[in-house]
Amino acid sequence: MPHSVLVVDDEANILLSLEFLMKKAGYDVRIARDGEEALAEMRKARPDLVLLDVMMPKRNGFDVCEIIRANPEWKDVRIIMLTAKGRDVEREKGLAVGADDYITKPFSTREVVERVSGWLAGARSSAEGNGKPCERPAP
Amino acid sequence: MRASGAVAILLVVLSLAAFTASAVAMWWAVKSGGTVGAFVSIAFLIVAAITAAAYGVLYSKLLRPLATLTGELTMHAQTRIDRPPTLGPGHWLDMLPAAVTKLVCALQAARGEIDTAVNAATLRAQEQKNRLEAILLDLSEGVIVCNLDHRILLYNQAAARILNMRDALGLDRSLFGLLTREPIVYTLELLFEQAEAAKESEEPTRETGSEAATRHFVCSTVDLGALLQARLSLVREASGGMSGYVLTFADVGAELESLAQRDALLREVAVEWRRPLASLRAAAEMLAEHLELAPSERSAFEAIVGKEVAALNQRFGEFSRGYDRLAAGPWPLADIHSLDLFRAVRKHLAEVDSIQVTPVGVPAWVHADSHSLLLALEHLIRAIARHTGRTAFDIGVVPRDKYAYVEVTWDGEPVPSAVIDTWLGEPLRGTIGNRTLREIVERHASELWSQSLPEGRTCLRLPLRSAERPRARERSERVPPWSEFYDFDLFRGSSEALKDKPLRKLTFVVFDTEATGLKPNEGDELLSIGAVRVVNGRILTGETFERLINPGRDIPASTMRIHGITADMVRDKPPAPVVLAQFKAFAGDAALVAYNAAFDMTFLEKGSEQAGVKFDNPVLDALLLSVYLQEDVSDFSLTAAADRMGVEVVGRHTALGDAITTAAIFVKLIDLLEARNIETFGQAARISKWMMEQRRQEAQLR
Repeated sequence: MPHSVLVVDDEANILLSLEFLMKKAGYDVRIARDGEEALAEMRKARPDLVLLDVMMPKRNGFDVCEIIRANPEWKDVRIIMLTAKGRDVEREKGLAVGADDYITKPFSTREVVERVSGWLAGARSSAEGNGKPCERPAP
Repeated sequence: MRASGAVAILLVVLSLAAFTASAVAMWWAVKSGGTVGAFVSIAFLIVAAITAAAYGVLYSKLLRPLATLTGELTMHAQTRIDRPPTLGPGHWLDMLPAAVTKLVCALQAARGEIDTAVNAATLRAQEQKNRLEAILLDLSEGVIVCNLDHRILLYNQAAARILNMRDALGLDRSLFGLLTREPIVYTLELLFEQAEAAKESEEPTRETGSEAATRHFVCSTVDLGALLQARLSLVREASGGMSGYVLTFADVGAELESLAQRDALLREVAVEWRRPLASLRAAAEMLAEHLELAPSERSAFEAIVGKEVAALNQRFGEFSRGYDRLAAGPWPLADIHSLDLFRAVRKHLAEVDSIQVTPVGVPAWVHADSHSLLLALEHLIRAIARHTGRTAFDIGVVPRDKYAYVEVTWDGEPVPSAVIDTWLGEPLRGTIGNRTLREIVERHASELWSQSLPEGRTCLRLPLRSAERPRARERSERVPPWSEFYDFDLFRGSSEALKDKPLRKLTFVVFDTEATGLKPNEGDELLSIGAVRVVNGRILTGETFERLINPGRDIPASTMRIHGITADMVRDKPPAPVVLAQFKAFAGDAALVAYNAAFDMTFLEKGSEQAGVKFDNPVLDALLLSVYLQEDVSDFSLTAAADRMGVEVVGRHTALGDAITTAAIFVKLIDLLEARNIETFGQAARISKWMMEQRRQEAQLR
């Protein structure tokens, strides 16, 4: 069964590209256009990974990330944040609220695909009981 | 004198003439055989004798005393003799010697007064010089004083630092070896013209006079290494003439540089992005609107789109990095000491909102817009208080890499980002244009979030740029040689009540002393005590003790270099017993901690009897504990220990600065001790005692 990925971004163009890329990589893809929609999608079905934009209307990415982490059922969901400002402190804030990784916009599509597959491969091995794939960077 | 000399010569001549006459008369009498000649010769002889006798009397009574007096007076005039001139009795000078004595005494008195006045003036001048030196030392601006020949008469450390050309900077060297000539000469000419004009017009008041005598300009160093914002003022003599000028300057290279960078960034967007955007737009429109394109044409335009997007993306990356550097750049944020900031926050919140804020941890310098940051912190703490219902918060700063994290800590859960977001949108009254919290955080190129800590605590974290500060100057460390011990049992006070209490839950008073020297038992005395309270593992930076002490003796120059405490600073300060009593009141029954406690405790013990207090508090020695934990290390100076523990050394080597450093080391030691299952006060005291014993034995072996 393919991994499922939830792509969350308020910018339609980016959303279109990301959706296309994830589908092409063989994942089961769903999309959300703001924070509330993302949480609604989460409740419908638990994805393996969330690509989460930071700057969004109706709950920003930090907020959504925190809510996901607060729910024990979603603790294994991988979260990659797509940050807009690309500052050290923003990355740190993302990790502090529970993200696994972060990618700065504008990003190369190849990099996004590589990171997603890296984290998902880890998730599989972790599900098989081999522990975490990558050490989560210290906050 | 000349008259008496003439009289004396006359008498000598007369007596010689009389002798000659009597001799001639005698010869004539013998030759003629007449008695008349004999009588005449006898008469001349008598006259000669009388004249000679008169000369003798005149010489001994008048001439010799006069010569003596003359000699003495000459000596008094030329050199300084304390006794008045002395003259034996039996002279005919009457009141003259007494008058001369009076004159000499008056001269001596006058000379004494002049000496006193000169000494006082010298002292005043020295004090003024010291004060001036202190001011100059403190200035972050460079100061150079020159005479009208542009020779350097004086300069301060900041000048040396900013110019960074020690070879060319020196007294009596030409200023133009350092700075370009033209701007300075030009500015001086303008100032002279102004001064002349002012003199010709109405009498200028002092203020307008001095105002007119200052001009701002920009100049550069001769090697063009630094661009300086300078201010030039003329030095007026009392007579109104000019004797030289004072040049004050600051390095504005960095500010101008950042302005230039900003300009370059804007130009980049406005000009350089136009071309790739134009190509991109044309290619995109071709693809979208001309469906009739042949496949080869289509792929050519697609290639253009890909190429230009890649180029734009790279340009954007550079632009974004440049922007961040500018936003966090040196201007116009300033360095502020965290404790100053936190004390202000504490005061305002306590007065207005009854919220208790406790500054904790080791203070640090941060790079911030202090006014808006102060308002932002107050606003945030109020918001957290509203949200959580808590009224007690710790505030501290944690250094990490190039950042200093301002952390507000409380007991309870983290605040959700969504809540913090609403706070960020709130405008702050008192800021220029009622800026929002978010604008202030952005201005510091920062982010704000809350994070849970161990033991059910939470912190709100605001990273700021840490300020560059020169490291505290290394002092000749005060860890005494191994043989130096004091004959009282330092760790006797570990009372039963404390024995089983965990270190983390205790109240400590961590202190440090400065003294005139290292030998309390050989006459060295206390100069200052600094202390800070540590409660439940938190350094309460707001609860400190800091007093200077009049040692009642001189301060050796050798130790003055270390602690920087001068006789002037302690002249009007209380003596040790008074301060020791105050310190005991501050410390109460809390356990005392010092770095090399034996040394500091000896000073406390020494003065305690006179102070009417007893320092029977339980004592721990941070030095002995760190020796226990890190036996393989050789350098146990306070700074070395601080370095190893990742503790920033605060301030200069003041008693309070060292006490805070010791406290930070001690708090880390508690963690390290716990890792070795040493958790109670009793255990730590036993280790101290054991280490002390070991050192004693080692010392005996040496």
